[in-house]
Amino acid sequence: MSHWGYKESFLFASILLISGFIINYLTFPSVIDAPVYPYNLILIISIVLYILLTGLFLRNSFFTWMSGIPASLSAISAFTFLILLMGFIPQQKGIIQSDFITRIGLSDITRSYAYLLTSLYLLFILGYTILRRAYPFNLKNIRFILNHGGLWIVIAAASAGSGDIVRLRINTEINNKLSVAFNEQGKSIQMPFVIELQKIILDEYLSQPNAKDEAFTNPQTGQFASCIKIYSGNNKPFEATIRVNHPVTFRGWKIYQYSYESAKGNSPEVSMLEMVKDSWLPVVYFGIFMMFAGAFLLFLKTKKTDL
Amino acid sequence: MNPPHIQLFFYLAIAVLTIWCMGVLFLFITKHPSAIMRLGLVLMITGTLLILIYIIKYWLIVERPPLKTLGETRLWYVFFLSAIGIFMYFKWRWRWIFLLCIPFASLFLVLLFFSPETFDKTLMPALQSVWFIPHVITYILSYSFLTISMLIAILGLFKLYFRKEITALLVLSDTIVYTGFSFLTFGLLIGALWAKDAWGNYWTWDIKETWALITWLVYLIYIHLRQTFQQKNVSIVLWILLLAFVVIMICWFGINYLPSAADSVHTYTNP
Repeated sequence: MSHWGYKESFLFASILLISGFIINYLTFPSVIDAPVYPYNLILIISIVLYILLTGLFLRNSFFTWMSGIPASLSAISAFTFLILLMGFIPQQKGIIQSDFITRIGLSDITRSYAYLLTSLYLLFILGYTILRRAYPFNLKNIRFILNHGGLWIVIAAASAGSGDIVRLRINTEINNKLSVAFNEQGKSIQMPFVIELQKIILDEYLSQPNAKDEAFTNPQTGQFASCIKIYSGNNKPFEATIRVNHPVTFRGWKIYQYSYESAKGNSPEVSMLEMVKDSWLPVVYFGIFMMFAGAFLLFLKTKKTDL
Repeated sequence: MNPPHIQLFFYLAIAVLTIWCMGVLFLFITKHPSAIMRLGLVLMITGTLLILIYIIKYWLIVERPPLKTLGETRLWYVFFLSAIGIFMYFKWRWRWIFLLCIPFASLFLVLLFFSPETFDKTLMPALQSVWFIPHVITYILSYSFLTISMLIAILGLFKLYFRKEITALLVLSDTIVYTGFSFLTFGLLIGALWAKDAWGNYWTWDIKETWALITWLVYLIYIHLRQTFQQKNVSIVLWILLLAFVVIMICWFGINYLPSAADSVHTYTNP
């Protein structure tokens, strides 16, 4: 396998893609969602262990091929191909029609088998590539490790962690105490605390002396915020103001100002909040930080040029 | 009658185009370094500074960072293209950089005529964030560098056609791409961090995010292809740079004209 070059690598990647399309067609309408804890963690650890053990103790031709440029390029290209399809084909979560494009998984690519196989292919190749450069360790490889390792962590944590993300919406009304929120499927979820909306702050831009008359009748929103109080058990009520771009953290939940509603012309009555719990976030942030550092070192890398 | 702000831009653009035209003329009229060449350089810098002054004035007028509309980002793009060109000249003393950067920057300056700004002062809540300025500026900076790599690639393809040597040119394009790509990465990551703050998720496969990722991946392909440089593959990498630029244009402008863009969280103004 060590003499596998571009032809073999791209052929392999194509087989992965086509297999994915076929599996999707045969198992339609099933989609793939990331498993919840602890299964997503077990999956990631298994991949890491497999790469480490085979990479450290079994450096054979498979390892050479998987950590080489032709394999990397085939994986990046296959992945880019799928994302490119996402750029052109409207993506819909939840199958609506059953035309050919949807049947092979292209209407919901991130939950398709082709995406799963390509992502795994990419993760294994990235893993072997990092291992090849990281061991034996040399400080000169730090930029490589930061860039590739950071990317590995972000892809793995974001994909696996998506199984553990909980996103709830709650429409709060002034002086109403609510303890029921709705998840993305519209199912109602009982929360272990009660949210009360006390006030909605809405700053609008004053109409500008503008050629367009619309500015006078449709003032644009400058800022809107919600003052809320959260009651939980016998603890002191938690008070906070949530603004767009300034979420508030409460017991592992991040609460966002999502939107508001008001009857035409009147002041707003309903404030829509979104609550998100993302336990894998610190891991993703670590990967992002590594990529930042790696990109910075890449910025410093210049080649000698005589023009 | 055009509002005074628009007239100001009109006069500025004419001035900059004239000054740059003269600058290019003076730079190339003599073969050896001379006073005329230096004058040409001064004219280049003057033209670029005029654009910067206009941006600052615009910023003061609208009382918010002028990074919201497509027209505003195009203005920064024109500035960075010419400023980077000047910087590259001082670093490598390569006059050709002006022949690449200035006509292209001028093209975009002219394009700004056809979509004059409204000087709208509003800034929607989603854009009121510390991430706003770094996110947009790193992106425009990266687009400027990567545009120059595209122009260098075109030059390279011409040189290949006339069977000239392009090894040094390829090394230069590598440096430019690495710089542009690192800014592209910064912009992408800052966008993810901002998205988490604003919308509760660092990645939503929004149309703009999807195409930003495609842009990032295509340059990733270029970088990896260059690791195994082979003489016969040289034109492939140059064509990839051209293709990558098309992807940038789709990501930056193209998607705003698609119907699906109406749902995008990145669309703040009507096209």
